[in-house]
Amino acid sequence: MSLTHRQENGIDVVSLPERLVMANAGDARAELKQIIQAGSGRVVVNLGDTEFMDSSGLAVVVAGLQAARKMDGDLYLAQMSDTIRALFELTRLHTVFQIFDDETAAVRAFG
Amino acid sequence: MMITQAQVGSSVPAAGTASTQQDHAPGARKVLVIDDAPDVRAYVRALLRKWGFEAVLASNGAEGLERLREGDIRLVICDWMMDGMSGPEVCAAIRRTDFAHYVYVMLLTGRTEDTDLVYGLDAGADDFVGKPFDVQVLRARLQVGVRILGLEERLAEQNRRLKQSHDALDGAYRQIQNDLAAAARIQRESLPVSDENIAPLRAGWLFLPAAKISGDSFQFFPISADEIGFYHLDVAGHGIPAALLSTSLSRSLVPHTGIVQHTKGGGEYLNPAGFLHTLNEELCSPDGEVSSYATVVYGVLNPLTGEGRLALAGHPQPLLLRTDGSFEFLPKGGLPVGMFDTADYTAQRFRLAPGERIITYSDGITDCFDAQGRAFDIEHLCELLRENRALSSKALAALLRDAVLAWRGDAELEDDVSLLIIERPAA
Repeated sequence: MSLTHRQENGIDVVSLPERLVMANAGDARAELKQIIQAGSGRVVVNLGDTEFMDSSGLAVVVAGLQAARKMDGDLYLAQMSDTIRALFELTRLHTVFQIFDDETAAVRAFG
Repeated sequence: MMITQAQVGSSVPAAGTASTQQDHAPGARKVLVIDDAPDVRAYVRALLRKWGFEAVLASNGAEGLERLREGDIRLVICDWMMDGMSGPEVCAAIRRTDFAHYVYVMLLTGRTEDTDLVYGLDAGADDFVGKPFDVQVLRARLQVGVRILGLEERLAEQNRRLKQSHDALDGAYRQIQNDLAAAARIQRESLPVSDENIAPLRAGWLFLPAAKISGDSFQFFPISADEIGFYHLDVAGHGIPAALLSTSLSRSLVPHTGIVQHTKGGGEYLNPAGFLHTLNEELCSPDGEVSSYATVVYGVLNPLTGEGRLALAGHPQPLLLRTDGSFEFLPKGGLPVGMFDTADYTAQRFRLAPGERIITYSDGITDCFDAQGRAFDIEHLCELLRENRALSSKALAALLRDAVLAWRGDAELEDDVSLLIIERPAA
């Protein structure tokens, strides 16, 4: 398992690995999708441990969002580092994700 | 020669093969018997046949060696004391000969002194059977020989197979390397060769693929009587899959080779936002889940007026380098193409005064890390561009190339690096 996963009030809370790059993106993507499809479609991805993400890693998070929205759910991001925030801003992806400073706020936002 | 304890009639099981036939079975293991005494040869032959071996006889060393050279015999029983070559001399001659397989040699000897054994072993003998010999001992010793030869043959077979698969892997690896080199060549052919086609504009560029072939691509080309088009794209990931998509995208981005022109009309190339919109629709997978995506900048520019417009899809913001050395970052654009079919793109206008440049690049250059883990970063890039702006665009690109390579040091590039400079020359 490259991801850690727990449930909180029917919300899937997932942490991504320290480095999410081409080498592990395929596995991470399959795992994340499996978690989302087995759950309610309401997902919080915690990026607190993630120090580096490349373009393949970005696709993992986007695929997660797409899977969640297909289930009428959503995927919120929490605790991203400045480096990763810069990547989201560069690619304009911060405009499609709801981004929270901490995980609790993200979980609470699902109501 | 004296033979004692002969037990020709003993009912021991066959050792040469599984066969218990009286005469040798087809394909039975051959044993060469070298002895100058006809009665010993005949006797040993009878034993060998009984045990399922095929006996081949030679009456002296020279004859035996001659027969061995045919290459079909691996087991030899040789007398020590003979006219002409002695047993140890025959052993030594066998060891000097380069057979394709091992030849197992047993010496028949009446001698039992240790020094003689050492002499025989040094000459290359594998085993000894004392004379007068016990038939059961001879048979057991032969079995040892058969076992050792079997082991040697299995090892040789394993080696042969290993070598075969090693050769196959080697061939496959060479093939892949050749294919990669060919792919890299094709990709380089889709990059600019000269800036003559956009005169009076000038251009400079650098291109450093991370894994021989790259997901980055850029080009410039005339699109109408008044304007040139240019693009810079970075397909997610690197290596072969990224390069394949990059190459196919490059085709649709250049007029006269692309698909867009046929479906949407040539006017599409004059409308950067509409162009990215079409590209995005082409790339988004029908099941609504991202598979491949790319960041793109696509722009058009009038060489005579310096008026231009461009649209961005998740790509690093192009830089405008003014004559006074100041920079302008063009506004950020829309999402990468290939992610969301709802993505929207807007064109932004810009103007190049004489002597000014527009610079597009992939994030491989700003995210290129040195040995201490420091990024090359945008400030560093801007500083180099500003300080060396008196150089031609071509020389400027060459300088940046060297700077990136020096920054990276001995390490391989982690991501494709590319940068394009388009310059409106000073009047």
